Amino acid sequence: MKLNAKLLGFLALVALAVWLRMGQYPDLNLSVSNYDSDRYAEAGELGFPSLRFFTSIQQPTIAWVYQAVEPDSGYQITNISSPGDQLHPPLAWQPGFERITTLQAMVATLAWVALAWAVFRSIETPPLQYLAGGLVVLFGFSPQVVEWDYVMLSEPLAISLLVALLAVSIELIRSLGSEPAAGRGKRLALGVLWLLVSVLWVFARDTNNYMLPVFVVALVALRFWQPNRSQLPTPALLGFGLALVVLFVTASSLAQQSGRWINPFFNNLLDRVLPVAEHRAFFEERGLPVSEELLAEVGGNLTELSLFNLSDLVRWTEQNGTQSYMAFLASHPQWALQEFVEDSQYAFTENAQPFFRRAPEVTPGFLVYLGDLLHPTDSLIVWLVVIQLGALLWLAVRQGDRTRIGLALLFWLFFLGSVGTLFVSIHGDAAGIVRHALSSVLLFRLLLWLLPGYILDALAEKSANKNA
Amino acid sequence: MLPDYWLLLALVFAGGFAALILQQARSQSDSSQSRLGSGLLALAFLLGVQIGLRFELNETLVKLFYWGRGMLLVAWLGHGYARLALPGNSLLRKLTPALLAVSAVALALAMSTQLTQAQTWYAPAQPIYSQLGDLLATNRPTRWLALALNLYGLSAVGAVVWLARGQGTRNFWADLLALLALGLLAFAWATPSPELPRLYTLELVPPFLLFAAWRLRQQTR
Repeated sequence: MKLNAKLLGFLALVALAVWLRMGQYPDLNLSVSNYDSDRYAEAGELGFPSLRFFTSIQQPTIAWVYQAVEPDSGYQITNISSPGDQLHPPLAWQPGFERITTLQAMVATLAWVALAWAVFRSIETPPLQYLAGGLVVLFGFSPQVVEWDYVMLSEPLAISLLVALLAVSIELIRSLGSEPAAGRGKRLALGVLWLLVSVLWVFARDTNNYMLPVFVVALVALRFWQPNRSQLPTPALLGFGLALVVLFVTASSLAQQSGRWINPFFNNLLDRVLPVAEHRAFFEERGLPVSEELLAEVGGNLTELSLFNLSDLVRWTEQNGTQSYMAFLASHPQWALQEFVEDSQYAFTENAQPFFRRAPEVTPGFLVYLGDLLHPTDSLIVWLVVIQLGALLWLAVRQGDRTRIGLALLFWLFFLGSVGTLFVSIHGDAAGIVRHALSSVLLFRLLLWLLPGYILDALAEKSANKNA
Repeated sequence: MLPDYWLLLALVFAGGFAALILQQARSQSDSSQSRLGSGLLALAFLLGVQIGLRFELNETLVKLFYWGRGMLLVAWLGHGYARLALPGNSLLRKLTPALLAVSAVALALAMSTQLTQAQTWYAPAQPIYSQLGDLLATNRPTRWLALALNLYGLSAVGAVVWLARGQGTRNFWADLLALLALGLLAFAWATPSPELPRLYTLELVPPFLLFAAWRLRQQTR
């Protein structure tokens, strides 16, 4: 009876999610493209699976999805948006892309409902389950998230996969810490699902890969501090860690071979290296070919695309670009940190997709306003998240509750991983910082609303323990 | 831009704390705890109304919000906390119907108050408190009653602090936290300056203080 009531309550949340998604947003036939979208539209030309597929200019997961649902007539880009040129057209039908919009909307809906379900299940106090689950639904189905479904870029799927990864992680931690212990089959299935989602997510955006080292470090730590060896045997832990290391090395190597990073590298060169004499000298010492003509153009009409015409520069970049930039960051830690802090604040300044004009007759203004509250454009929230994470871990450790400690550490991992990916996003490309930092910033915003439910739940149990 | 999300964060925590207190009150069949829990729930609800008002100003809702947040909240929270701290106090019991009657009068006064021209310069980027302060500035009886009710709430908890000073350190700190919470709620309402962009932090702190006060009181029961 109790379970049924709980299930009905959750179904009400799902109904809210479906009503928001289906009733308050534009038709799924509509979409908008960007200059980068054509690379995905041409994904059908790549054979999957092949080395060429993984080392092409397309992000493998996104290319695979575009290839999988491509109609016989192919994709036709007819509605181009370019926020940099102040071009924000309304949504329009683009032949073939309605399949992508629909798929992105379906994956996003599944991911957010899965997260709401995982959060709902991992909180024990009934009223707080609805509070936390409801917040996840409102957050995930706000215009600030949903509108990305209509944009033909890698962001929509990358966000949905991150949300799905968090949902599976919560469920995995819950099954590892639960009393009585979850069955071996369930743990194995969750572990495999976690790895599968991780692979898709890592190949959806190159930056995502840099969250894996944080997970590997956590697994190494678990090797020495395993709360329950029967639940998480050492061979399983080692296998999991090895799989992550292999995934990290493979994804890094493929990304390096793909040359996807060269365009962002040129942005860095134009914005952060060439205009500063000291920075320029550092790279010149490592062989960067800088001619007088090139220097004369810096700050003028020179763009990252025009740098591709300089064959010497392209050759040097392919051979020495990554190592030189890493060495540059390592030898200028103060500058790197300062740039990170300044650009981090900038990364928070927007919370809506800039690619198309919102139709106010379709999406109610109050939903946009509520979404603005849930997606603050204030970098102060990072500190609010840190305070909440600290409070949750403190409460969990004081209670000695294994599942809660595991969840607190999981949220810490995602937070630290997001700080890492934000650092890579900012230093990986001087252009489009807000868009590139979207996943990291979205996770900070999500944690701001996710953590209160767990903190309140921990306080509830404390008071119950006291009275027991 | 003002950090409006603080209001939502305050709502989440106020609602969550209210749920915890009410759950405990139900399991112990304790009406004095229910009153405090209901007060926190009312605070959460009023924060929701405030969020709605910041999106769109509605005349009737403004008056109801003024009645609930400006006139009743501190008074009833103070009264409720005093009854929690002094469960057998007959004076407080007798004051309950009187407070109910005054609340009804306050509703009539707030609803009959004419909104001034301040509505025309309402700017969404400013805290709603200062707007409301001016909105009702010409109506002296409403403002005076609001002040009197806020003072009652503060005085009730102030009296508890005074009476509980010999009852042990925990109780004393609990009452002091409750007084501080009500003081902040009253201050946030009374502060007229729109130049305080972080005013909403004052909304976030009181739910924590009231919950901490309740927990400390629980530990001495």
